[in-house]
Amino acid sequence: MVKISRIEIETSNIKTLYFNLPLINETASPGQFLMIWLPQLDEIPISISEIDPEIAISVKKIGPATNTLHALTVGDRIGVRGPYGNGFSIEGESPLIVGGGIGMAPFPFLIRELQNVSHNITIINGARTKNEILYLKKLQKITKNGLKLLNTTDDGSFGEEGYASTLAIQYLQTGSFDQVYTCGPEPMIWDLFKVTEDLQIPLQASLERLMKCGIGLCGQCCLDPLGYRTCLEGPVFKSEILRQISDFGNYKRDFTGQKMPL
Amino acid sequence: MKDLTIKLAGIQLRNPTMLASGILGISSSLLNRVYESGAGCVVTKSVGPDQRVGYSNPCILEVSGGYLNAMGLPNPGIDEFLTELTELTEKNVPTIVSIFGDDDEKFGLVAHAAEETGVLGIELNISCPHAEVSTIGQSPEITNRVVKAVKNAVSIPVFVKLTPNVTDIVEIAHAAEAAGADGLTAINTVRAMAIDIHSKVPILSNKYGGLSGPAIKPIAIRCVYEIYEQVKIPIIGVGGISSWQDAVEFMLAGATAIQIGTGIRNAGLKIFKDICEGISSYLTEEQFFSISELIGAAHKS
Repeated sequence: MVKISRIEIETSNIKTLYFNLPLINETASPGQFLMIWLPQLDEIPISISEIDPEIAISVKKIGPATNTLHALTVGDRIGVRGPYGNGFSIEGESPLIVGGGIGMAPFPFLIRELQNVSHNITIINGARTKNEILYLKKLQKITKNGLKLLNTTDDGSFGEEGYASTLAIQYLQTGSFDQVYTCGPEPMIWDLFKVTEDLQIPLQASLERLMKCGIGLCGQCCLDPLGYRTCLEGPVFKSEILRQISDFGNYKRDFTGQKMPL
Repeated sequence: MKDLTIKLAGIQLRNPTMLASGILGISSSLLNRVYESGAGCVVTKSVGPDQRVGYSNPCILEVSGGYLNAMGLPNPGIDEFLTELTELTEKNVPTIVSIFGDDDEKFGLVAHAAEETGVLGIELNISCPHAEVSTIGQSPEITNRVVKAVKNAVSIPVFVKLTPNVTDIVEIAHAAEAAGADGLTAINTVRAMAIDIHSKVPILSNKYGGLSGPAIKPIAIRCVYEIYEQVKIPIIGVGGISSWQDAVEFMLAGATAIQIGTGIRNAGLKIFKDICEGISSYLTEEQFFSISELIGAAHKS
């Protein structure tokens, strides 16, 4: 287990926990995830938000495990295994990043990697309301380096009013982007996918399914009809794969393995 | 490439490699992918009469020499699973269904329902080391009863998966054979545990789990060797196989076919093809006329 070295309060329901694990620093790529263990409670997959020097994970309170993570203090320990999964590949000179809510979590790490190859990055950061916008200050700080940051809120309390996907679609239709990265609610990803297909812009999307082993052995998170495992061939899938996944936008599996509508 | 076709209790397989039960076997799409990757046949995750969510996470962790898991037999129940089985048989994927039940009658009902979809065989999970069914495989009497019930319910071959967590595995193998089993699968995982030194509690949510991977291979080889000496029905060898050399070793010990599970973690799905190619080269190099000559060859002396 590893000790939490720092905690940052991001929004009314999201905190970022920091810890030091040199091995993850050396091997992790943006879009990969960790399995975070809370003794006698649960083990859940969480995106890596930042590395180097500290590993960061952003956690939204949604259930017993995430509530417990929110109650931890500096010096408390959590179990960590990973990094796992297929992350984002660094492609495109004019990328658009679209994050919805906690779906922004993998992007600080991705943005830093993208900045090595691109000086023309646009970020659309969507949230339900003003006090739920993730990484606002961090992103405002780095916009000085040639990044364009756009915020949207469902209720219009900050930035543009509406969904991140709605604004993204407007930008895609008028802009000249050559790569789109997204993570967030699947209906949002699905909307973006349709538009990027029409416009023939490559999309890399991070999908979410219930996970158990996290290492491609149990089959819990598999996607039909290709039989791709979200934890191994995913969580990031490119357009050419998304096109072939009939479960995408439609179905997930519950913990019995039974398929059910998303 | 040599001809690696084998006959297992009347079932013809294109090669002796099989996907072990419990690994990836939740959906027809993934099982189909495993078959297309080169496996001779696939075994599904264990399915029971009713849906089960299994144990909560963590249900797996890496330990030195392998993995420790306690999934808790999650499955959607046989009625729901028939859809996936039908998809497999429609695609002509050679499939063996792993089943479990609460009693003899339930075992029979699940097996019968599975047979209707056209699958090749049934494997009885009476040996999962961290679920209720483990007690069956530890008793020759109960094993005998369950095997008889399933044999009465189906006409396709029935394989019995044995647990190494007994004093004498041959005694259970005898009981299964006497009840009419068509083959034996040896071994299931080895009952094991890991404790976290900081929180000072067992790591798996179920506390106990089953150990798989290279650490258990010598145990499995010993079990296959012992059983081969005493029973006539074919044996499927499983436990820590991660290379063609391991597969050959199991066959020399007496296995007609072999199953791969944890080995997929490091080698990926190409492990089935890699093992077949390795066996083929070995047969040529060692001047074996056919693959069947390998089975039990270590017992000559």
